[in-house]
Amino acid sequence: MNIHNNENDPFEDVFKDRFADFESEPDTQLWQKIEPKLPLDSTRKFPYWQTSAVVILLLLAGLWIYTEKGDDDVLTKSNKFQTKNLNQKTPNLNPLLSVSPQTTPKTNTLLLSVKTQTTKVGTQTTTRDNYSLITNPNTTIETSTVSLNEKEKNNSNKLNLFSVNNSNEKQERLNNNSVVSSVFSPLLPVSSQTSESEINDVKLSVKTQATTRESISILNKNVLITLDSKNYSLLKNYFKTPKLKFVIAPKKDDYFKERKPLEIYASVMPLLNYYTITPNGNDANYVHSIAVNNDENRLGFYTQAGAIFTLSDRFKLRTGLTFTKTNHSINYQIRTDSLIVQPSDKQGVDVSFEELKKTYSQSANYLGTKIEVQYIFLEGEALTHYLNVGLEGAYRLNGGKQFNGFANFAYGVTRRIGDNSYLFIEPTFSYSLNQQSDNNSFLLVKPNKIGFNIGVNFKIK
Amino acid sequence: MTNEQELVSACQNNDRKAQTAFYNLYKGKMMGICRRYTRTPDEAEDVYQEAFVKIFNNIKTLEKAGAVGAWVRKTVVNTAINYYHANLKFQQNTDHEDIIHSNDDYPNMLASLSNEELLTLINQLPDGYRMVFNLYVIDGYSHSEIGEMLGVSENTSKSQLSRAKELLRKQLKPLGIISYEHP
Repeated sequence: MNIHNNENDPFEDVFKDRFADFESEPDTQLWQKIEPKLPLDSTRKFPYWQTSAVVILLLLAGLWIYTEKGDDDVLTKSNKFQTKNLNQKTPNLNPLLSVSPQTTPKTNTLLLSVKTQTTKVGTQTTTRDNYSLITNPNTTIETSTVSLNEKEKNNSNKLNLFSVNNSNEKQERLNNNSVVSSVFSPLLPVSSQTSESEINDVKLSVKTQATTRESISILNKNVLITLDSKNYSLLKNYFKTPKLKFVIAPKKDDYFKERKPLEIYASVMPLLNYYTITPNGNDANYVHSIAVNNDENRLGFYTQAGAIFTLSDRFKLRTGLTFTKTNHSINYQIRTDSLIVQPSDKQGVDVSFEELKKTYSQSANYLGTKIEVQYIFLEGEALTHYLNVGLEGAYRLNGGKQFNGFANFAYGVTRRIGDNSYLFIEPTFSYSLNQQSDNNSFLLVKPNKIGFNIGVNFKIK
Repeated sequence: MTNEQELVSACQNNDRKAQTAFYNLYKGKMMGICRRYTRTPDEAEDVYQEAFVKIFNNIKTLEKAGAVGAWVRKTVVNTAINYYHANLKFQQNTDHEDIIHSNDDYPNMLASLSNEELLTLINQLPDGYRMVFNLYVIDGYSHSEIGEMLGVSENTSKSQLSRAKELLRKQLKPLGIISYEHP
């Protein structure tokens, strides 16, 4: 106020008294003109429970992806086993073929049947494997089906049988339908076609037909579930406690104090494994036809939680714990020293090295820790853009002990979703610093990852 | 004042509801200031809009929420000064050398004039005079402060004030107010 007003002009005082707190009602339209010019309403207020719900959803999604993958793992494991069996059998079968190259029609059929048998062996081993996992009285069914199989092998109806035994549900249903239309049991027509149809078989089939096929699938599922929970209980415990209790209510006076914020974060990243594969050293001469098996699951996920320290206006330091679930499956061939002699045509024989087909599959869980530097290069009203570079060390939890280092590169965008909470999205590339190897050390694999990291930050200070 | 502080912190987060409440809280006072510092209601609205946009954009920088009233007032005054500077070249440079310096007769009828009537008198002052008159008489800035704010010397501020007052007195005459005594 005026300290200079010693002359105290009454004329001035009139105006001062009248206008010091003078108010004038503005046009009601003016707010409509001002409002669009105001800063973006980027902070639509999400209550904390809503933000927490987002985090929980993200974690659940991760868990869901994980369990989905878990089921697949068991399946692929059994398949792997089966293919391994196949692979091991082929070399044994091949010499058989090459040793008896007589061109009699009999051997020809033998050749054919052997060929089909290999595939048959596959399906049979799977059925057997599945049954052997079940420890209940249904073992009798196993023997019955197998005996049926063997009998029917002699029939001309082999294809039918295979499709019946095939685990593929579609074909199974088709078969069932076509068969049921004629007789009660799907197995009946096969056995009735044989002249000496045994009552035992019929009984068995009638008794079991309701249970076998339907219960097999159910039992299989049971087996899968028990396997799954057993193998990965560690992870489940890890996931059961999302660390949301650290969320602290904002203090009202925080706005007026200059301080370096501290944030905690949690995120989930679905990832795609992106391998670089090389043969191990001198094995390059023997190992060839390396291909990533795209039929197998290449997807995994990566989840992390930790703290973000503000270093300066532009730089932040992020550190935390990570959990990684990766899958990979790689097919390759190995040239062995054994020769295979095959009849190419009537003129002569072909000689070649025997090839082994191998598959290197791995489903690995890593627990790791990371430290990263974030460089904020663009800070807008609504979005903040940053680059993220860091290192990660991860220790493998399942299977062989293994340590993996990763260099992580990400570009991130953050958006404010609440008073003290931010949503961030980071396309991330994670480069593996060291290599993994299969049991035979034929391959060196770098399990690089590409993913889309989505998470939430909470400012706690 | 806690409510006001909460309102300010909500505005700092660009909460639209809080901004509306804040607007409604300050719109009367702000328009009052704008009307004093400008010539016409249209100009007042221009300054008023600009000031509010400025306030909401800069409210993040406000550290003492308790001082928000003074801060708002100062922001509006500064916006008005900026507006005055921006429109300096358009203003008519009226020469008021012919002002009669008469301190003799003050009828006591000045109090009978309404605020709007007095405001009209202020509005009709030449821009420079109006600025100084507002800043010094009503908003309580010293001549040196005014000199800094307007980019003129302290003496210019002083002389403009006395001329503004003389002009007002002159304009009061036709209204029948020849002299004034403090009640």
